[in-house]
Amino acid sequence: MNTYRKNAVIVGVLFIIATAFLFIGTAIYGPVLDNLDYLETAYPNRITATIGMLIEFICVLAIPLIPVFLFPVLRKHSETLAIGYVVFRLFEAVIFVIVEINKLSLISVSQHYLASGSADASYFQNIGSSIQAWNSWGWLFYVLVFAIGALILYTVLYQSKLVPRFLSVWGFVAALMIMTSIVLTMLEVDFNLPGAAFELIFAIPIAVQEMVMALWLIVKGFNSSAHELVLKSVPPLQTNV
Amino acid sequence: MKAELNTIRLLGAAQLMVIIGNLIMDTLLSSAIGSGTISDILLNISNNITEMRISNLVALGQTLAIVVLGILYYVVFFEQHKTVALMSLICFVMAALTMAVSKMATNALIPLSQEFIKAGTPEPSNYQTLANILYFGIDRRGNDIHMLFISLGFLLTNYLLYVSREIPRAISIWGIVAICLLLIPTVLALYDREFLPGAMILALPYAPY
Repeated sequence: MNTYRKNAVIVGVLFIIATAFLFIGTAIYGPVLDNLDYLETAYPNRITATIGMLIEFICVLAIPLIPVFLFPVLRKHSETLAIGYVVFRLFEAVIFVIVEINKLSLISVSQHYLASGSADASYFQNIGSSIQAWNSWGWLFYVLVFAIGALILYTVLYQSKLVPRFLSVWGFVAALMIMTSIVLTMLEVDFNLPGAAFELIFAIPIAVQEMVMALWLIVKGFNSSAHELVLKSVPPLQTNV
Repeated sequence: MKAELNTIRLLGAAQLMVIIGNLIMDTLLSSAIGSGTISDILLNISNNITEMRISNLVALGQTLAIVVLGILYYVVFFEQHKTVALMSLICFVMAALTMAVSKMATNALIPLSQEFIKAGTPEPSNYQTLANILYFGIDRRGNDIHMLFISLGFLLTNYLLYVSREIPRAISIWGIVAICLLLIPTVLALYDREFLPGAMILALPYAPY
């Protein structure tokens, strides 16, 4: 009997939504909000930027649902780590929302800059730079919390063998890589690589691993023998005859 | 019922990490920011960028340690007092969140201070206004709210320790009294930070605890 088959399929779909919509959203609003002339382009292209943000907000719905559906499966193997995973992913979702709201505020700064007739540009540039500095820290923090959540998840998956161990090891190593990239970014060590390339090198392993694991969960589900081992270790109920 | 020994030890280690991390972070931040007018603060930050970055890094670790602490307290006590354990977890997560948000503002001071120097330290200018908002408005206020949540979290956990007798009751009573006293300057600081220096004497019993 393969228990929690439905949970596995839902979790797989949610992983795909959380990862894919993040990249799609960034690809849409990135050229508007991340370019050097954002003060002049953000407000005129606000519809595009807002659509990109809304697509990313779908991730915010998916991110906390993943641990909700995984919790009943993981708690049988390690309740502490299962609770830890739920808390860290909820925390991740809240940080994500804060960063997204801050990004939207750049549209307002652009609006006021254009309304002022582009006068006193340095004033608006300072505000915009502060918001972007805030966002960059917030984003680093978000990725770090995500990496810690991933380490917790792959630890439980490795111990429980709910998915093939190569997937758990891959995820664990990829999460460590992304944590390393955060520390390097904070200390401004980039090995002379352009920013986007540096981020992609460390992000691609975890992104690909999550897609592979999502497809595995959808097609094969959790390893049923891992559940049977847990059930066998629980002593049978005493009944009075 | 005695909780698993390893989890309790981990809990103690996490609590020590939170306290030591807080001391390191505050020391680094105070030394990087210094004192004086907001212009002096911007100058100090631009001269101590590495210290600021390390302080922010420590704050990041501190935030995660607070979340882990909350989780461990919940795991140890949820069977005995589910509601109080859940409330303490929520308080610790909120404390971590407010610290994260306030440190985002502190981080934004770094490029602002560099722009201030590049512009030739103009007085008065919008740099000072922005720095005031980021440092005194968001970072310091965020820190006050963080202190409120973490004090409430520790108050609830000390209550749990008192009723469960996991540690001698004298220590948990000391903790409850010390935190109640600490809450007074914390709440006063939310009203007006001018109360803080005088009221901090009430925080003394908490230090050795």
